[in-house]
Amino acid sequence: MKISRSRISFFVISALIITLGVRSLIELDRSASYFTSPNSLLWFGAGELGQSLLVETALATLITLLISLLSALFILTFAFAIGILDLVAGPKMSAGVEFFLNLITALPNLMLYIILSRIIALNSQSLWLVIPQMAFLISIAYFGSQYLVVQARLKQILFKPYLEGAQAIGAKPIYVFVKHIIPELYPILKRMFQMTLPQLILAEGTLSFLGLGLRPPLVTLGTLVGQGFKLRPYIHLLFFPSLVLVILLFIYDFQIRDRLEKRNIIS
Amino acid sequence: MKMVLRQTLICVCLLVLMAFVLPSLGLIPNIDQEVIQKTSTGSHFLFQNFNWPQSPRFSNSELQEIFVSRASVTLELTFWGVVSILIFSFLWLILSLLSQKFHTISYFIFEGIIKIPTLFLILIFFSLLEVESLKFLFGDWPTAFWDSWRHKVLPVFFLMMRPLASFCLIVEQQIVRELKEGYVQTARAKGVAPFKIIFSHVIRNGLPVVLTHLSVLGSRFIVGGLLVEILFSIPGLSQEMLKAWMEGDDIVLFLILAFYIIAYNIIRMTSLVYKAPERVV
Repeated sequence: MKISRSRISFFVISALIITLGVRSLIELDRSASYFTSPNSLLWFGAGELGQSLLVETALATLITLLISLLSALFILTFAFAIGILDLVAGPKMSAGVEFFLNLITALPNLMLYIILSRIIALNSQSLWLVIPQMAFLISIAYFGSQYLVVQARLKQILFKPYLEGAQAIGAKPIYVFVKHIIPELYPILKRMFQMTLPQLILAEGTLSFLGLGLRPPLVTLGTLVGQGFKLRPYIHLLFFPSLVLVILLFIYDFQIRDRLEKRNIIS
Repeated sequence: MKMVLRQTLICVCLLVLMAFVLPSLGLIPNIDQEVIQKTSTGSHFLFQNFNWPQSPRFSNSELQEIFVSRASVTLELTFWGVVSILIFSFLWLILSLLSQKFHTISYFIFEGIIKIPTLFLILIFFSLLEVESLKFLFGDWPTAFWDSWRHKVLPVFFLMMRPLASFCLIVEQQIVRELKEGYVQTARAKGVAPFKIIFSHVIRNGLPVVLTHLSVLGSRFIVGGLLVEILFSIPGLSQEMLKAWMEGDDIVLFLILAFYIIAYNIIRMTSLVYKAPERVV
């Protein structure tokens, strides 16, 4: 039986995730004196208050993934909705969308995020309120380039002859939308989702590291790295969260590359 | 060019609007209205009831002084990033043309560097290249060397490390493409010196693409320098910007943001200044 590279990587990654997940459940109730370095009881060592760093990192990874997933979903929804609006509505709407896009491209992503975060402040301590807020801010700051891809594809689809044929037969707009446009757009939306996710994880990490994201009682990987950077003499506080983030990005990068290679897009 | 200028102008106008008008109307949260009223300079003759808000932390002269000194530090970092990327890519090109082994090894390293995000690359290597760990090996060297290593060499190195990989690949691709062109072969057949062929034909024709990429990199350095400044505690604009963000000092925040946006767009436009020579087909 031939074992492919992708299958090995899948097994290694899933074994790693399962081991760390189970271990974090075991370490849930454990604690030690503050800043204890990694040992057999606490694999990643202890944090500022003597809590297990592994448990914190696992929680932070979940929150980071949740934020980036939500923001990817927001980006796709915005791109899809505005793309449809741009093409269906009149030229005035189209000019407005173009103006908005020009404005976004003139601003660096980080600066746009900072401006937006002054208007929508992330002050709340409730996790379920802050996560969507931050995802919304990130998605607006990072959606410019994604939108252009969706718009280009929509323009291709909307002027295809079979759509005109369906309309001529008497199909209702909702039927055309559900039966023809969404299935055509689905593959590109799926690919976009896969490609943007690592970017958004990195964006979230950077913003939280700078202190522009969630505030310290709520942890993401970025905030953990930021705290670790401030307490640099205890190097395990900095090393493990940043290692987890790099591995996370590698997993996504590897998966995408693997799938593209299977389809012979990259030789 | 006009479009980019228009975009920049609109952005700056919006920032001014947000910094001066919205806080005074109480539309932006987290700003203490009492502080604004206490520190305001008085009403303007055009707007009798309009108080121009002022930074609660600095007076105007202080702000000007801080802004100029810090902006120069930020621009200096960007400048050295761009210069060093040019020098290193040129050196890399010469070395890889001379030895195939160097070329394959460096290609392998570049591919690895491109995949890792800069911030975490810095964090992982930070402990290795920190002053204390290196002093263990070269402790006798003068303190001026360590100062420049910590505050100038390392930040520029980390700023340009990841873009250098992509930039080198693009430069190589351009130069190799131009070397295969017909006019180069004609020049060789005529007996023109190789040095002259490269400098007067190949580089001049390959320059527009390289310059465009360089201008994009320069504009990214301005924003990406923000992280490097914080990591190496360089007294640039970014630290002041984050402090202003934390303390809700919108005047300073939007002033610095306007500077970043203008610098970003101006550097992005610099590639348009160079006019490519007309090709002889």
